[in-house]
Amino acid sequence: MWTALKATWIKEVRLLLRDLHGLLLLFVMPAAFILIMSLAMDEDFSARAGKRFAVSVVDQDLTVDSHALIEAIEKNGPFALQRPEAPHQRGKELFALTIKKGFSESVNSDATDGAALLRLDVAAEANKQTQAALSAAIRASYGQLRMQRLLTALAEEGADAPAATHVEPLEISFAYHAGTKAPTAVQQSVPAWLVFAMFFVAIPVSTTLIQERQMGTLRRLRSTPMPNAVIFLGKLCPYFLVNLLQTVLMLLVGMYLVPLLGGAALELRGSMLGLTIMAMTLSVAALGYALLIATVARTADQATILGGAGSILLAGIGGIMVPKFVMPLAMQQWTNISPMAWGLEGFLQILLREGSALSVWPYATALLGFGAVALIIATSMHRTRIDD
Amino acid sequence: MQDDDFVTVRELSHRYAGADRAALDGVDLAVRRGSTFGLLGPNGAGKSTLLSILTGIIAPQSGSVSIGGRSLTSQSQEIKSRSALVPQEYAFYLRLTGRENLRFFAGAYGLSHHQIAERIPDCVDVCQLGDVIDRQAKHYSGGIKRRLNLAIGLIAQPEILYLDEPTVGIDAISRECILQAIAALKARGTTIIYTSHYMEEIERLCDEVAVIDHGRILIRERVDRLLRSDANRTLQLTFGQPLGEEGREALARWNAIYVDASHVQLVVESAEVSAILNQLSAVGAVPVQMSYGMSRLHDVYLTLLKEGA
Repeated sequence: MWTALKATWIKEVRLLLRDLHGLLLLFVMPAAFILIMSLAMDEDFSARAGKRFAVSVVDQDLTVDSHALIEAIEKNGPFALQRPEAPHQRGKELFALTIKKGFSESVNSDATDGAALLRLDVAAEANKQTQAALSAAIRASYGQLRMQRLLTALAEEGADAPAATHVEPLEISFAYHAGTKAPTAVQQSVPAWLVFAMFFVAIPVSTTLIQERQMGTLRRLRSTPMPNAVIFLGKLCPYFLVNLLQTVLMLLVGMYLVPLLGGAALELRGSMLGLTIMAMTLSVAALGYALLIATVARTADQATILGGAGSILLAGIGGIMVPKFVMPLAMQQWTNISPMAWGLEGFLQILLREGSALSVWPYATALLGFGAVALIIATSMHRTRIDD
Repeated sequence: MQDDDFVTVRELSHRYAGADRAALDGVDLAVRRGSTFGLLGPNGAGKSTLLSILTGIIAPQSGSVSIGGRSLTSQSQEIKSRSALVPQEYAFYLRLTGRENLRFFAGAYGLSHHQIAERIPDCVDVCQLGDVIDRQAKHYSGGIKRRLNLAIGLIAQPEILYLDEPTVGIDAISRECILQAIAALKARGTTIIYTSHYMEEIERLCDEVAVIDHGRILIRERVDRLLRSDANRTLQLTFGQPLGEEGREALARWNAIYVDASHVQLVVESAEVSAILNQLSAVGAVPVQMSYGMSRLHDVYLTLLKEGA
């Protein structure tokens, strides 16, 4: 039995290595998705994560008031104001604030419109919401500065004025674990597209199985002493390892490749045992799904369509393509019918919420159950198909 | 049934779910050890079902099968390790090389590294695959694919080999190569069950033949007896042009069968042959070709199917 199993593994690995399309589908596609989606959503997630947006500032006034304005803007919004090292030197900042000469005078006098001495240059690709937030921060900071100067002047003139103290009007509370870093786009993208990619084994598994059925290879194998269980195990074990390899590679893409292209790096948080459990149980579910497709479909074309379209549908429902928290509440409940959502939630439990191995058991159990039921249905249907 | 029967099939029946009739209906069969047994029948007659049961792919619903003294029901794994099927499809992996395919199927039979190393050259040699064995099978011609299909069947050195139309759709050179390989196996004493629609192959290779139709065995007989039994009184005449009215009148007393306007068959005693030729000569109808006492399996087969129907 061991000889037969080993022979089947070697055969499956050789077939997979010679299937360029299959390799692209299983490894290059999810890596590309992770890169694209992590970088595309970086700004949106950065805002949620409390990242400070860089704003280039050209201070032509160089007074105490212009310094005070810069500090106030940084306090009033998620912005980091940076002076270019050389005049006219611009970095990758999407916003540039110019504080013109005479700004200080405008703050301390009623004669000049101080706002006219501030100019904000906005790059075409800048997010409109970020622009609005920055404009509001500048106006608020300018208002605060003028109020402080006014109160100071009144106090100097002997009036009974209140002290110019700054009161923080709003307390911000984040939904994620306090004291840890907030989620980034890559922290969402890696598990999402990893789950998607793992389910895509349905295509190579089902098409090779159908080709074996159509070409009479399975019939021939059943005439040999190789047990049916070995035929299935021999096929599934290499793809189980492929799924684990996908997990490792996609995590590495998130950790090392995304930051090289300007995105945030994936941070491995939570239990590594939990992460391994999730990868293994998700693989069982994906392989069950793959065998089910292989038995339902009659041709390789049908399997490709069913496997591909089915995975995309499960991904759409399961919060892979559009993050669950972006969906309306009613739709968020629907995500739970997709096994991809169970896999994604399990991974997020580890990567976002720093969950323990124990905390992923509901997701792992659900995935194992799905995989087991799918495998049982598939193996019984498969036997009937060959007998036909 | 005799003591040297290697395959014994008794009252074997099988009906597929939803089918309106049985694929096999009370089949009795015996194949002698070391013989080459031809299994003939039209498409849908039950040949593939019979092969599927004999090879353990599907379980019989009723009846019994014994191969090499072992019951297929209780000792199927042992039987499978001593038998091999060569399906009519190219039942191997096109993205693997010929050698990799042989290695894989050798593994399916649980052969050791030593056995594999020893047998692959033999299979390659018998099926004349030496030039292509390390190329991916997708690059093979149809004939070479058929040879690899056969070579895979030989890797386990089976006691019984099931060949399901092994030469269909290939060139003359590959066909001859395969037929020679089968003849060599026969000489080694391998029991072979052979299905084909090419009657000349059955005539050439098989010792015995069974004709199956509608799931029942119509006849099981030695090939030489089968050909002799009906054909030894058949006179076949071929004329250079359609036989005229006078020629037809000359043959009237012998109940001639007109295959077409130029071909006639008559069942007569040998003493009558010269009289027939004289009669024809008298009316100027001289045949360009004639044979007596010979028949082809093809004709016997068609006659049996008509009678069976």
